[in-house]
Amino acid sequence: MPVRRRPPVLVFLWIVAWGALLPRAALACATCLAGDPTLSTLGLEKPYAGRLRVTAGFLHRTETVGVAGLNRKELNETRALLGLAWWPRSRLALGIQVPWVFKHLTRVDTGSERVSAPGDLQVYARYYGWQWGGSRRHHLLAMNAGLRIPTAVEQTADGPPLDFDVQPGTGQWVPSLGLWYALYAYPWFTSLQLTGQWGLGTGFQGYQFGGAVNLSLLGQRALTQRLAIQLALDTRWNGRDDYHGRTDPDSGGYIGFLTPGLVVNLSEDWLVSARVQVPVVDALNGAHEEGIVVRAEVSYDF
Amino acid sequence: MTFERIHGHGLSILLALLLTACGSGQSSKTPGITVDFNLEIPAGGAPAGSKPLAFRNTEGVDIVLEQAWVVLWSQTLTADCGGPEFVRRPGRWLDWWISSAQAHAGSDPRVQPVPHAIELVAESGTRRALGAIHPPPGIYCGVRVDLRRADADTVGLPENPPLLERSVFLQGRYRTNAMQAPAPFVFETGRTLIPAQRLFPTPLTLSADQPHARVTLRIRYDRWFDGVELSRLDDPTQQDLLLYNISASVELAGVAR
Repeated sequence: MPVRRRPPVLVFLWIVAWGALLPRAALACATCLAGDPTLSTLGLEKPYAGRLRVTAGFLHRTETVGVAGLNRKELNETRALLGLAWWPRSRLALGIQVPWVFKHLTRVDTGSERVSAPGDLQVYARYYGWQWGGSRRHHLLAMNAGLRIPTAVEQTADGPPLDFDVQPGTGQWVPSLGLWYALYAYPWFTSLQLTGQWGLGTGFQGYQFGGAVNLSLLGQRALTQRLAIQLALDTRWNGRDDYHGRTDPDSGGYIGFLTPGLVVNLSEDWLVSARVQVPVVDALNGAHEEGIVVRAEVSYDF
Repeated sequence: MTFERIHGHGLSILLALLLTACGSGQSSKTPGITVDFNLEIPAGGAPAGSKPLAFRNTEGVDIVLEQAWVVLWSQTLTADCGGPEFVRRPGRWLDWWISSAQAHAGSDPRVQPVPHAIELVAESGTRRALGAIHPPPGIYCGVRVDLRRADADTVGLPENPPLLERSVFLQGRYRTNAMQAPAPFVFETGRTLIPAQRLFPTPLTLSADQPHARVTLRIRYDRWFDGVELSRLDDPTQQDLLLYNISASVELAGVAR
């Protein structure tokens, strides 16, 4: 029972935006300007004043919540992500990301819910406060700040709101703060990122985010100037979420992913990467499982 | 690339991003298994909503109910009806001091968790929708009705009488053959009643092919005072018997597709 139509104008604008991105000529070389040949994916870039990067991403994941045969919900989620990052100064990056969220939720009562809608807009800033290692700046230490803005519309399908888990956003403001360290030692690259998130106010259906701490350790080795392999350990601790003041027993806990990946430099400023996050440590609370996450990105540096 | 050109690209993309974020998207929902619970309150021959309710118990005592509140705490579909307590009418009545955690059973899709305060005098001859649930597929053999004290979320909770933290409130008059005039009585309690567990006439199969059912319950208030000495309502034994009768008066009126 479709009730909300995606305005065609938005699809058109999306296409126009991508059309505007197509390079009319090879005008720049991001790795040259960064002074480092490391193939750096989104969030791992070496800064220089005036750098501008646009990224289109893809993510697919599965999640199950509840007890089989009783109240289990199975979620399939795909996100198309469009992001823009800009370095107005050599020590400052500003970014914005908008996901388009496709979700399909299957309930134990044989019913299902489906959503295709924009997710919450996310803005972030990174300040590269400390750089050392000579002119090559082998070591970077930065502070991150971000904000997830509740721009997603609560989906209803002409009735009461759909299940919270199928909503494209949470309806809640979620700030984040963190630290990022990177070691550029071509052909090697290593980064460590620690981020804390918390919720402000109340979201859809009385939702209150329980908070999260993410720790990510990544190693990358360039096999050639155009190909690099990655291996990361991505871990996340979540507090328990509340709905209308009642704690969700199937929320929160700890999960760790082992993430192999591949980065390919297609041409001078085009970068393609793919990663697979495989859950290897699962200590989530209650009846809650997360499956493999597949990510892919295409980036272009102007 | 010039600085201006970078800005031109950046602003174009930024504009597209912001406009995209303003979209509303589309959504759809495919209904699953749904079971509706209803309560039917017989009028006993009187017009709907007529007050007060008058009837006679098995001892020949004439009783007039002016107010009769009970709290239906929840209804639960069950697939296991093999226990000795699961009969067409309750067989045990000594264990209704069941600990009653007052949290609503909101996470179990077999439970209709919304409590209702029912006033049988005002609602006699009417039907009330108690709520709908979306249980998993299966074969269900019966329903369990819990009667507990009201909390602040109870639907239809009155201010007068103060029913919060009460499971039953009764007010009326009675008259035996030996009495010249009716005597008033008031009874109220916050105790948890023995659950009313009722078998379906035939097992109820719920599946993607048979996704809908309607379970209708009924409360027969005219049997509440059978065997009860109304002059001794302070006596715990008489209270136990009255509460047992109330629980036993919850019947299964029907199961329909």
